[in-house]
Amino acid sequence: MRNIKNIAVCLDLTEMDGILLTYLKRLHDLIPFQNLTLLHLMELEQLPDDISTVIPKLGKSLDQIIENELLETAQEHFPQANGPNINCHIHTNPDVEDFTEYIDSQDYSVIIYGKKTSYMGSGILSAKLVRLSNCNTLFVPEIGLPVFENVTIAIDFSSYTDKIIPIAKRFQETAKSNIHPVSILKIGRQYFPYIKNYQQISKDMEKDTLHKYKKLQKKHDFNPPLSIIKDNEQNIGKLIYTFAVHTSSNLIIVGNKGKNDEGDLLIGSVTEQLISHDKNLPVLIVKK
Amino acid sequence: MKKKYFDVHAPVFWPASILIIIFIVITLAVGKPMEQIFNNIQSFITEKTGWLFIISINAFIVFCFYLGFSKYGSVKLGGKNAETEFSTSSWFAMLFSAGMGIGLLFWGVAEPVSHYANPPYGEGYTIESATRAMNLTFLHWGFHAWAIYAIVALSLAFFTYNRKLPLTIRSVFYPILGDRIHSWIGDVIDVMAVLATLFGLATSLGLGVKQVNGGLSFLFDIPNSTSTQVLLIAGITGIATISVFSGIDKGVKLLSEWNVRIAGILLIFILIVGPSLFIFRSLVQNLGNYINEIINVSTWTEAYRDNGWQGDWTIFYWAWWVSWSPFVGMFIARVSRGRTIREFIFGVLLVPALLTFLWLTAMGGGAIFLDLQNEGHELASNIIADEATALFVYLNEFPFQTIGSLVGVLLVISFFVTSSDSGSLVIDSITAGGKLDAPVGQRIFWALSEGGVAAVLLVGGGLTALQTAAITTGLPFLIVLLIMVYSLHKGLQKEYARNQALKEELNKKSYEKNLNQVIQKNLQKRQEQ
Repeated sequence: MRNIKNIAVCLDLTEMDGILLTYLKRLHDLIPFQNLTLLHLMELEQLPDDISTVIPKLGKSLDQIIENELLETAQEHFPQANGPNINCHIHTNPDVEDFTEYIDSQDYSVIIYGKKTSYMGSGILSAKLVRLSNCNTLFVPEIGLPVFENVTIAIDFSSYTDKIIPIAKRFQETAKSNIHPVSILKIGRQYFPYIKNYQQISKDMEKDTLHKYKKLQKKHDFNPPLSIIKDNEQNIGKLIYTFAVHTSSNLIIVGNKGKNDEGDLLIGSVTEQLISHDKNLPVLIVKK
Repeated sequence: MKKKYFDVHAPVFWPASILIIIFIVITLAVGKPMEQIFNNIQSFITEKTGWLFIISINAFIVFCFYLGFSKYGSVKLGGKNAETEFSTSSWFAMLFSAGMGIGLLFWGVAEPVSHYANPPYGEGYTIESATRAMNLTFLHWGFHAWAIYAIVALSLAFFTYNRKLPLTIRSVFYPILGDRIHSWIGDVIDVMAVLATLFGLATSLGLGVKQVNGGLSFLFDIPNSTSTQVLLIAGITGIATISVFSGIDKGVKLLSEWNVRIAGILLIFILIVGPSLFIFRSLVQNLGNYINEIINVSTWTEAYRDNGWQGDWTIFYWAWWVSWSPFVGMFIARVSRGRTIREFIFGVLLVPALLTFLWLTAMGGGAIFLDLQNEGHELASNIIADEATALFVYLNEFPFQTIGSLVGVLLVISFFVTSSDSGSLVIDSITAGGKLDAPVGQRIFWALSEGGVAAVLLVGGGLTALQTAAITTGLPFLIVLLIMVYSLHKGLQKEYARNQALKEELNKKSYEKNLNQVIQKNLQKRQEQ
């Protein structure tokens, strides 16, 4: 994502399309990108009769109609000449796996999905794609604001952390964002019932985490200080989310999987919590 | 064009070829003393690493059952929409013929009788030793052997069909190595697979040719000597080369179909003219014994009473199966597209094993039965005098001896040819980077080198050399197999998670509504124009 060339956005012909394109417009103003691909999956194998009887009257095939519709909406949002090159891909095979393969074969820096909270049952497609695809994914909820002044990044010292920091730096440099790195420390107290000096352990672990973070800072030439949250009660996703709200962040950047996530998870448990229905902040999931 | 005759993946082809040539040259240069060297290598490996073989092979079988019964059992090879290429019955037939045909002919009579006469412990020529003999033979040819094949075949099929990677051993390591499977590590893995396959094949071919020689000397008084055997290898490799040249679809397919048919006829012949009732009764009893004793026998390592028996038998077999496994695995993988993992595991594990048990009971069990009737145990001593003639000595007990033995010899030859053929095909495909349609020239090269290695091994030390070759190449590949188990499990976890994620139906109703709105809008626009 360091050099943003191609961005894709998944559109589904609902009002959500407008929200996503507004978001993208604002992103483009701050961090310009060259190409924007509008993606659409035709979810129907067979068209219902009332649609298929009308189509001949329009003189165009269905995918052409959809393509025109999407391009029209996109041009409304990017009217000026210095906008990105916009192109469109209508995936006519309704198989989600096939669509995922197509997405992974393209060189998108990031793909953007909308997350609908108002009506349940929708958003199944994006929930599938975020699990199956290998592409960096930005989830934008309906009320997610296109503001990048404050950005929270979750640090867990896994291999993804090394990929998150350069992206955060990019926001820092081009969008002048304030980056808020956060790391959650969980010390299972119940595991050490005989250790009296609990405070000491907690201090040692904190010191250790800061030391590791210093190394990271040196490696990436990255200056924002790390916040450490110690809490054993709430789940990590909830803690990160609350931290983001407290720092007025409007974007959270996380890795696809944490250090302890098992092999049979496609996305990690923390990431899963952050994109769940009750959370309303945009989340960028770094996968590669 | 250069590519017309040779289209190889150089980093695999050349190291493998050079290692094989070095091996041949050293063995020929050293000559007779090589036999002692082979002996030392063999006893070193079996003594020091025998336990590793025993525990690993048991781990494989546990893993197979785990996969078969677990939630991963529902994963389909080739994706959820894949269809099977072969009917279930012909799939079973192919599984059986791929595995051990030539070995079963060689050891089918010789092994049970040998255990019966010289048991690992206890007295020979007794009812106890007879029962134990069948039990041990079942162990060596039963579920454990097929578990090894099942793991290799399943891994290959899964990564080739579901992950669309090339059909070579390195692809199996994708979950661990990622794209590094295309680097030198992958080359090393493939070189190991080539060597294991080649030496495993050479072992089988060497055994086969010894048996052909035994049969010919039995029938026509042709001298039973190494030079005859080398000549035979040359002749049969020649036939194999012609069959390779004629194309895999014709020669090999025809031969392997007839192999199974003739072997079936031979089996039915024995069932009819042999001690039929005994065979069926003892099959039931042997099966029960086998299942009852399986944990005991399969974890027995001669820990308290080591007289070197296991090194010659169990460890040799485990190593032999391991070194065969890339070959058989690749074949099974090719015919198993569209099977679910559950179907695959139980198909590969149970059906061929049960048929093998019937064969072993009819051959070796029958021989033991006949021998138990006689005080002098002449039949048994004649059989164990030379493993290579065991089958013919046994067939001699029945009417139409000459025809029976002739059929036996022809069967061994044709199994030889098919093994050599399909073996070269597998090695060829590995050394060509997973291509299936590599040029014929290469395949001929590999057919010749298999014959060459088998001949050199016979010259350099006979049966011991053959066994050493299988064991020494089996050991490194055993490690590869252990890693393969981990890798396959990881791959399946991901596949299962993907299937789960794909399960939920998309909300088509709401999509239909949105689509309708767009259409109506367009319709309106058009009418306004």
